[in-house]
Amino acid sequence: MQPIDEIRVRLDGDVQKLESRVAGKSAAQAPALASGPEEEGPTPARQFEDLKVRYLGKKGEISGLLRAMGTLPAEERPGFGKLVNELRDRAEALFAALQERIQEMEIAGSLAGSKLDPTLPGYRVPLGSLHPMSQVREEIIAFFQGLGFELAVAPEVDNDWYNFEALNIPPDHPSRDMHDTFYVDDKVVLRTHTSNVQVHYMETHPDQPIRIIAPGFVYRVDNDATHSPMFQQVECLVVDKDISFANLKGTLFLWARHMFGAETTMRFRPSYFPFTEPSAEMDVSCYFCKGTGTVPTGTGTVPAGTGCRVCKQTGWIEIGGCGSVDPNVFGKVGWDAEKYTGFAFGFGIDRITMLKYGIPDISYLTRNDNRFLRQF
Amino acid sequence: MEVSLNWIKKYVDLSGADDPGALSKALTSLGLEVEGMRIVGALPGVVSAEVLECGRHPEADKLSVCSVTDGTETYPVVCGAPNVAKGQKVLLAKVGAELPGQGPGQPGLKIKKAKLRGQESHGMICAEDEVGLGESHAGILVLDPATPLGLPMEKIPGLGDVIFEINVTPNRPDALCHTGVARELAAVLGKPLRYPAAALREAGPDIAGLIAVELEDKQGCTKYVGRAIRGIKVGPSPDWLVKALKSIGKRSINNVVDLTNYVLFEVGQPSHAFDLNKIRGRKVIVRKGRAGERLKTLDDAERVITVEDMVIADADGPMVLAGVMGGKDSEVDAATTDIFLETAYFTPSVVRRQGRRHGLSSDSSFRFERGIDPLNTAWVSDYLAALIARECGGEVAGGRLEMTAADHPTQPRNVSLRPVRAEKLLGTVLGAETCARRLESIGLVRGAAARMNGEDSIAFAIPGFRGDLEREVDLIEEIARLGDYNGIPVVLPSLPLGFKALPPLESLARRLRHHLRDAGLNEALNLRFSSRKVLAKLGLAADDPRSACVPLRNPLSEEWEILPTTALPALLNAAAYNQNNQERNIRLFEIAKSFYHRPEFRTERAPGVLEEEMLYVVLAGEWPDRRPWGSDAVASMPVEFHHLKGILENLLAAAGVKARLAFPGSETYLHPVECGRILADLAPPVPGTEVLCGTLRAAGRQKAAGIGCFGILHPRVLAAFALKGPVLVAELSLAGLLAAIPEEKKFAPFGHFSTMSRDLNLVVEDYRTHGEILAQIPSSRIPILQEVRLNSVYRGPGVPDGKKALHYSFIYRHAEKTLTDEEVNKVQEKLNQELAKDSGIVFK
Repeated sequence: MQPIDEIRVRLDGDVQKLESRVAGKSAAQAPALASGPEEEGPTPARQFEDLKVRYLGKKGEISGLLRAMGTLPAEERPGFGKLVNELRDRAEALFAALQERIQEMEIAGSLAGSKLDPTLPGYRVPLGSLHPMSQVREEIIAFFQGLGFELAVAPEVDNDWYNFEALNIPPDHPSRDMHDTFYVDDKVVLRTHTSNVQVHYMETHPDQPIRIIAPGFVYRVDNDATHSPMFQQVECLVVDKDISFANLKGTLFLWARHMFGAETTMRFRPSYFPFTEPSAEMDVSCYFCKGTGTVPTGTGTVPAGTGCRVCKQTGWIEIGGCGSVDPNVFGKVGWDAEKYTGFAFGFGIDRITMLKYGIPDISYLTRNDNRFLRQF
Repeated sequence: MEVSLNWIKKYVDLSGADDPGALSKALTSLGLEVEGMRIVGALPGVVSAEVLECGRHPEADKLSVCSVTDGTETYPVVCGAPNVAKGQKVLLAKVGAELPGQGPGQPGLKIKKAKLRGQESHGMICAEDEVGLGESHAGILVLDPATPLGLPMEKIPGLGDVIFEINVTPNRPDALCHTGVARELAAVLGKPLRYPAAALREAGPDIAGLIAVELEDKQGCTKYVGRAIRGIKVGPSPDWLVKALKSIGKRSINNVVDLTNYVLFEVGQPSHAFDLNKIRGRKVIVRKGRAGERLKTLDDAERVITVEDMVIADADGPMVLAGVMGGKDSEVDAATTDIFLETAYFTPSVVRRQGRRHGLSSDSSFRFERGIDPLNTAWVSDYLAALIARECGGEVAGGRLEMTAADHPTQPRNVSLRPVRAEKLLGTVLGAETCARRLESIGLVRGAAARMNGEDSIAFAIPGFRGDLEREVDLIEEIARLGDYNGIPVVLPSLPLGFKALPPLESLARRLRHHLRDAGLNEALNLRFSSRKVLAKLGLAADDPRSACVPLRNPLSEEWEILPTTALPALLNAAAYNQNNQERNIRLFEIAKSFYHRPEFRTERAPGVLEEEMLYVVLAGEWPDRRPWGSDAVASMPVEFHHLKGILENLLAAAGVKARLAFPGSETYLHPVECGRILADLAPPVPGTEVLCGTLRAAGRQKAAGIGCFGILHPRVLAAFALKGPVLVAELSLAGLLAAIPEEKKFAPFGHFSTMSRDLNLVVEDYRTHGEILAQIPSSRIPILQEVRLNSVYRGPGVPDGKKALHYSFIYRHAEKTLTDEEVNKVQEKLNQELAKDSGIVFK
């Protein structure tokens, strides 16, 4: 039995030696261990292979023992064989464990050896941009689509009838002064508002409930820091048998809170539009100063306590005009104004875009400066 | 319109309710939007004070040493005014007060502690001019002895004022005067309105003996009232009148003219005073103008009268452009002793038209065209005559000359209101009493109760000044307005659930926008205005449909005189603008409308203008490499034709239509060779959409219709827009895309067997195209050929000059079995033989 014990002791010693060599390597040295220059003799992986062959190879020491078994007396063979098998099992277990250790060490080494600079820019074609007005427009459409509104359109160059007369704005009426109109000729104008959609839609969808939203470009002879000769409006029209001014307020309130935040409050001021009666202007509380007129703390960019520039210290932001559909408009398109009531409102997408992104001058919206467009 | 608070206070008692901020809010919430407010006579540190002591300055004869108190403290003040005296109430500018400069551009005066010839002075007793209240520097301003001490200047009765700038909407001519604004305030404050009055005393002969009036134009003028006043003295206006007019920015002219203006701003009725002795033939005729007539108006302009105009004429010719402006020849001047006073109701549209015809607007025409009170004409005539007699002397001749057209209203109109209708329309509970009370507060007179359409109603008599209240709904608006809109509840409408998909055009435009954004392009937005001059830079042929742009009659400028048929010039200008800003990468797109002037489509209601949505792409400068910093990458490369082509190929796929690119294109503004067309097979047109124009010029064509084009911008166009090239451009009709047959997505079975490939190197003349070579491969006859892949195009060493090497891979796969080398070789061999028939192809 002596040779078995001898071999076992040597095996344990060799395995332990290699194990301690592997364990002694810190992660930082590991690469050298796996593949580095062999300054300290063979690598652990190589040593492992040598050891494994020496003990478990076909011509290895354990096989040698088995071959030597034939020289033993027959009665000793079973006992010897059992011990050799135990030794082989032990060796296989030891080598399997050691191999796992070495493989782990190698993986750890290869991972830690990464030279990747993850902070370098990603490979990509830089994303382009959608015009801020397109984004606000889509957001508004999505809101009203969610309420079951249909998107409707009408021409931008239109007959006087649709832009004015059917909207209760007769020729030679002073309310035409409220519209600085571009004319193509006596009867054809660039629409001054999206309200022409109301007429087109009611004419083509007679005597039925209506729920439409109509965004689009409109034109006025006007050009300064807050007015562009071409700008974008959204028109809403709801007509049914029991639509009230209170419904107008309810719908606008829902929208205002969606657009400007859940704390938004609103106020209505009487106004005049020939195609609505009663008519109103709608203001919402300033989302920036929360209606106080004074910059609140914690906004970062502007010192707290100074006057709010978003609402010019009034606490309110003018949003747009609205009202109940004037019976004359129903009359012009041949609807029964006793049977139907409705409301309409309109507001400027440009203005809301400027508010939302803090754009100080309307001309940025159409100058197409790359430095502007890329911000959105 | 400017409104003076002092003036308003004459008609309504605002005691305890005259805070300017609160009044401004009240007016705005009544629909009389206050756009601006000016506090007059507010000078911080200037207060009412009393002179306690006043003695001669020991060192200077002309100075007094005073002791002045503002009620809390007493100050030593040295004063140079001759009229200062003990016991006076005066205006004291305390130390720290800043007085306005004397005259425009003059520096102001800051009051400091000073020593005047050895005497301490801690303030200044002010003269009128020093505090900006008037011109007088004759001495210090002495206040009413009853003035309380220590009042800030603007609060001292008679000194300060508040001027409201009110935006009066066109439906409210009644609010274009002080009594009108006062009436609104009185209504919300629950106070009575004190309407002005003046006692009229007639004397001397009857007016009929002095002058005659003929009302010829009964359409243009439905009421004309004349009075005569004789023996007046024309001169400067009294102080109160000058101040009142000055407070709202009106210049004083003379007492007669000022009084007519005063009454205009007081009650809203314009009047005109003629010099009675300048009226030739002693006859005033209201009539249409006559061809060839001329009139020199008060603004010194010589007006050519047309037959459409309405004039006030005498026997010889026009004296006044009716309702708009008076004439020089009949004006009241210093020598005038007798006047004829006109107070009339002119038809709004008539006044408006003639004002526009002559480019004239006046305070009078502004009110006439909005509609003045038709029931108050005679009263104003009497009232104004009384005022003139009072302030200018003279006597009012007996009686009025009064002409009334048959259709002129003589009674208030009646309008019925159903309170339940008001509640239904507003969505709030009011009750009949509340409705009636609110309407009565602004002068409506409640009449009989009745039934209307099965509901209770109340009739209301509408006062003449509210011509805008014609219908029930107008009364409902008044009820809402007077009760504050913010009191109406906030209620969502109860409507049935429903869903409406976006219209196809909107949904397509959105898809294209998002796709191009993801592809790295920036969405632009241009003003649609352009000019024929800019459009001409594209070099379009004379018969090009895109020459039919829409001209504007009143453009903002020469550069913006049309709505163009193409937005491309605008986008090219944007590219040039960015190039001038040293922007290297220009990747712009825009979805914009094209406008075509097509009179043949004009009808009674259709404008004869076609609108078409177009997509434009402009690329210039560099295109970013996907690997901007890799060792084998260039940071970026000049943008090329094939960048744009790739973008379009993906775009068409994203749009989901059967469209293809064809070469070359033919577009005037593009490179003649480096350009292509976008073709699509169109679905049969939906009725009503047959007419497509723009790039979709092949109207009616179904197969391979051109829906767009793209390529390198022509060098001439490049130069015309001052662009640095190359610039790549694409143009695509959204209508074309919508009309194109959609690409239907259906599952196609694919084999699970692996592919095999064969490579081929071909050398061809440089001018030969990839497309030609592909066309010679009989793909349809080789079902196992999955793909022909171009790997490289090479020119250089190893390839003769003037030739290029093309490296292709042919990918084979059988749907049902694994291919063998022999099978693939056989197919490739046949394919090579096919290609070899082309003598220009050399295998390498």
